[in-house]
Amino acid sequence: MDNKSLLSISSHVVHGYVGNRVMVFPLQYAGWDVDALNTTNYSNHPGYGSFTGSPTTPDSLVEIIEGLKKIHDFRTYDIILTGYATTADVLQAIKDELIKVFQKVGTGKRPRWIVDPILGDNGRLYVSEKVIPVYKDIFSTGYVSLITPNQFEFETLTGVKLESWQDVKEAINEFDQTYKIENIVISSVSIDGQLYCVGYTSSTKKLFSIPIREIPCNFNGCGDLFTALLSNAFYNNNFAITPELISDVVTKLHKILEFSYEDECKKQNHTSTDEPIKLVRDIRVIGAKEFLVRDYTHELLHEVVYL
Amino acid sequence: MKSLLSVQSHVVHGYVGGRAAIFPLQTQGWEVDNINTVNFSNHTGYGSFAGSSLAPEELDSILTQLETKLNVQYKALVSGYIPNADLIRTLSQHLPRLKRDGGYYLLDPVMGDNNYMYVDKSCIKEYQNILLLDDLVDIITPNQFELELLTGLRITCKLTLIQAINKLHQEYNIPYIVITSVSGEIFDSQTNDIFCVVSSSQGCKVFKVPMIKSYFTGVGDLFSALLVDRLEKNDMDLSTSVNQVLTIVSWTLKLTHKSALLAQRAAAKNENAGELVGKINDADTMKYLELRIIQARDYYSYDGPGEFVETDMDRLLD
Ligand SMILES: Nc1ncnc2c1ncn2[C@@H]1O[C@H](COP(=O)(O)OP(=O)(O)O)[C@@H](O)[C@H]1O
Ligand SMILES: Nc1ncnc2c1ncn2[C@@H]1O[C@H](COP(=O)(O)OP(=O)(O)O)[C@@H](O)[C@H]1O
Repeated sequence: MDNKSLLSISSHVVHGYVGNRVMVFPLQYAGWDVDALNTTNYSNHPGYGSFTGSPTTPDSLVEIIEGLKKIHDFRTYDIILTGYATTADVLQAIKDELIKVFQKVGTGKRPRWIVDPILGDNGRLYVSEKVIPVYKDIFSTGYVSLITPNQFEFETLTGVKLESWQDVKEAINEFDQTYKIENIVISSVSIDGQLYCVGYTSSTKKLFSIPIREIPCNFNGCGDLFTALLSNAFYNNNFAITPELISDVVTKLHKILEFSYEDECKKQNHTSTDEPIKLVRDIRVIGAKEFLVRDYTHELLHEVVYL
Repeated sequence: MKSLLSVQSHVVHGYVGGRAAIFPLQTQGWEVDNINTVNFSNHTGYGSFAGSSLAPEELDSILTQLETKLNVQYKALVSGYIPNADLIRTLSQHLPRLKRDGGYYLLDPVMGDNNYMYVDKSCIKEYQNILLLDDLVDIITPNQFELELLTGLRITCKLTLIQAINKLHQEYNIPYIVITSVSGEIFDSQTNDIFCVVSSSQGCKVFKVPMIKSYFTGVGDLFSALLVDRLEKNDMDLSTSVNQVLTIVSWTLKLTHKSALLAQRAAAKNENAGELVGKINDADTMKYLELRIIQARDYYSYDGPGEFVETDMDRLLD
């Protein structure tokens, strides 16, 4: 391979933007060769109320990965990204296949494994709870470079409810002692009514936060897009989690979500006297593509707080 | 927002089918919905691959959902590799519904190349049935062999080529026809050239494209995707659009060939590594020759006059 390359294991939907559909294009647009392994083949995401299609079975995932290994050396990936896994069996199969790759890595180049432990949001699991111990096993392997849970996911994984900065510090410390993962980014935590993105690096023990300017609306797929943007920034930043990188990712995402929100208002002929729009089902990654290649590393640096 | 439905193959690694078509379209502002007709690890040219085809019932339920629950409205439809007759038939049952709000449909009847079929013979009939549906197919992009399969005519000279093209215009009522590659013999060419022949109400024109000696895959898929985009931008002017597409494709192939040589040399650590000629079923050369779809990003917006000379077919006939 003569270019930076990444394997993204996540969902596929025919219509709309979640999972690989919201991750692949932004990464490609940033110059990545993205290999896309799909854990689902759905018509659309469940946020529409109904969908058709089916999940990929663990057997067929293994078959495809084994087939790919015959013609392609997984050690040449710069990043391997695991996102939406439908069931514990699927996640277990992916884990087993990837472990084999990492075990073969000698002193040479190794792919960075970025895990988005997709479990749920806003106090609700959207996968079976059997998935939780499999994520914990994955974290224990020592091969994971970065994880990107949201607040609910980090709470579920640590058993600590995050209500104050003290809670965040304690949860991160304890998690670090248990799993020793190099980097943790919590995509959003709400403390005293304000959202923050939190970054932590195990080797330096540096923990910092950057406030997120919240749009009063929910966006399907924003967690997946967050992880994709973060993966690119992580690579460009020599695999270090710094305030510059979080500033860039959070601002890009804000611009894209803002664009999506306004476009949704236009689509629905929304006027200022109507009830505000509460949900945008599809982020406009294509329409907002110009923001993907802008640099916002300095945008939020004045708001960084080390904890 | 312009939206489009693409129905073709998916591979995890490499660039054929949807993987060669979707990114270029997205860079040009298309919202692309994509149905993966197969889900393979890599393209079959490597000699080994794993994965499976979409089940016809599944295609049916996905299309039904798009039409009835999501109320999609597409400005364009593109179909490429579909692995079997059942899937082609299932798609054809939905096409009239998918086109009800206007929009245009480009059919790339992917069946084979150089007298070799890579789908079952039963697919021919299903494609012919689609062609018979009223006002359904607007643009068709077969290669010479696929044109023969669809029309049942052997193409041995310019006259039989014209006959086959006219059959598509007259019997099947297809307004825009592009034969993506016709062999040099038909045009008495001594050099190694590929001939691309286009036909519409503007007449029948021929483009001569120098051949790069190698085996690339996914080129036809990139070609048809770019053609959909160019036709939209050029108000359905076929000649201009095809010239632009040929130009973008030729730049992409040159870039691919150059990068492949560099990559192969770097791997061999040998400056004198021989000529790189991709061979089918040879994973060692195939892996270097994957289209550089990502690196070619800036080419896709090309809207100049095109680098190739178009010649009226009539002038070649005497
Ligand atoms: N309503 C919003 N306003 C502004 N930014 C948001 C909003 N929702 C999400 N984001 C951005 O998307 C990122 C991921 O969202 P989050 O809700 O944490 O992920 P998930 O979808 O995994 O729950 C956040 O870090 C934030 O930058
Ligand atoms: N080896 C090659 N050298 C130069 N141009 C090529 C080569 N292969 C394909 N092309 C270009 O791509 C176009 C489509 O190729 P073709 O082989 O007809 O596609 P397919 O058979 O996959 O539909 C041709 O018109 C030509 O412009």
